[in-house]
Amino acid sequence: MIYLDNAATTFPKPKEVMAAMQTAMCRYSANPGRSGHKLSLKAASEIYRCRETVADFFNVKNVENIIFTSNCTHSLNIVMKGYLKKGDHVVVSCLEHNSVMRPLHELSKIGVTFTEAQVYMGDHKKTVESFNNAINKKTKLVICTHASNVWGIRLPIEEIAKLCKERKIKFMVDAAQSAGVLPIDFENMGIDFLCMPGHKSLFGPMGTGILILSDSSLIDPLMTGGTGSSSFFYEQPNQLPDKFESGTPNLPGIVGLRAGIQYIQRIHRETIHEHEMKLIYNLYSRLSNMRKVKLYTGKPVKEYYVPVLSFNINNFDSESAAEILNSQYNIGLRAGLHCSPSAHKFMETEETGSLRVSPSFFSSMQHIDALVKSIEKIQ
Amino acid sequence: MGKQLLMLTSVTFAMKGQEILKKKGIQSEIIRTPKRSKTEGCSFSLSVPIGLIDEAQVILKNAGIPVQGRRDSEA
Repeated sequence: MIYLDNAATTFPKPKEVMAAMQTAMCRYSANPGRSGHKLSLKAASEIYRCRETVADFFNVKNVENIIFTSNCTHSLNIVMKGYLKKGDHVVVSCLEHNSVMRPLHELSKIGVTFTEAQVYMGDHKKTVESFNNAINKKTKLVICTHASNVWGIRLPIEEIAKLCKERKIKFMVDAAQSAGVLPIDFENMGIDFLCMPGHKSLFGPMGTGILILSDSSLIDPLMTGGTGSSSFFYEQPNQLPDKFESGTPNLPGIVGLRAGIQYIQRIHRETIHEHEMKLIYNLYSRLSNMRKVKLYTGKPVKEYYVPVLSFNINNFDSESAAEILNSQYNIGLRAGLHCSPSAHKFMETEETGSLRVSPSFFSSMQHIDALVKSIEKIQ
Repeated sequence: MGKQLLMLTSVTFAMKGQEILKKKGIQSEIIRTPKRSKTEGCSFSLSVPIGLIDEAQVILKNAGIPVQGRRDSEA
């Protein structure tokens, strides 16, 4: 199958990821940080190495501020549910995924309110103004996707971070579609909470996620339990990462995640970004010449987009078109709402959904050629 | 040379502490803290040469790594 659904999860993974996971499973799959024997310490050491690799990749000063989670949704929930209290107000972009919107909806039942800031395609200044206007005296947190998982629209997180610093409000970034593709410098970008999956563009396995925090003192843990530390006390330890890492960690997953990040470091993030943008730009140009294809966004230039493109084929709802591509042409795309009804309301595509193409470093121009030819044939 | 233990609050701090000490030329070993008392609970320690324990403790403190206490090694 020609797999172009990498915004959901990257496939295939680099062979180094699988090799690292197999080594972990076969050679040192003991419980990390719980015992003093050699295998447990080796396992703990490998998890620590992954923290170091993440710290290096995202420029994080303190490795203990890197929390391993099960996915990006988990990371986002830790902050939202641990930080927000009754009466607090939140500003989000109008393009957020349900990983943000559903927890917010749930929090609204206990008195948390929120405002959606409008995003303006191709006008970062206006988008930042929109965030500024949405902030009020009760705003405690601004949450912003780095890039829309539906439209690939890139948000100006550095400028929004600056705004949040000026207004003394905490800033959380959902980097689900950007981590591993766009440059992210945690210490210098002014982000307070950075959330990401491990299994998308970082090439780790499913079941891995990362939360990076600048300050955890105001956040209650979402989950409490055994940490291998301060065991006599029923009180959850306050120290990081233990505060947010209860229970046995996903050792093979974390080891695989490290191998995925090291793969990016070897190839270079910029090379990967360049390759994927080239594919998306080519696809966009060719689709824009096809009368039966409806495009919604502007030309996918780096400043305003990540390599994710959504469109529709006239006379087909997105699910039907995706099924034709799957069954007749062996091409895997994602259709529907992509768990982001907000993003579809923004583009008025709630009824139709959209077909989404998201290449990875392992996608090729031949894959794009095959997709374009298949779309041409769909009647 | 005998060893003494610097007791730390987590395995992550033990790993981080070991790395920092190594960069400063002090070799240490991570071990499970023996003979836990009620006030300590489970923890990990860095086993360092006796003559270097004061220096090691200062280095860790300056790096923001909390040291719970010191103890003679039984090994």
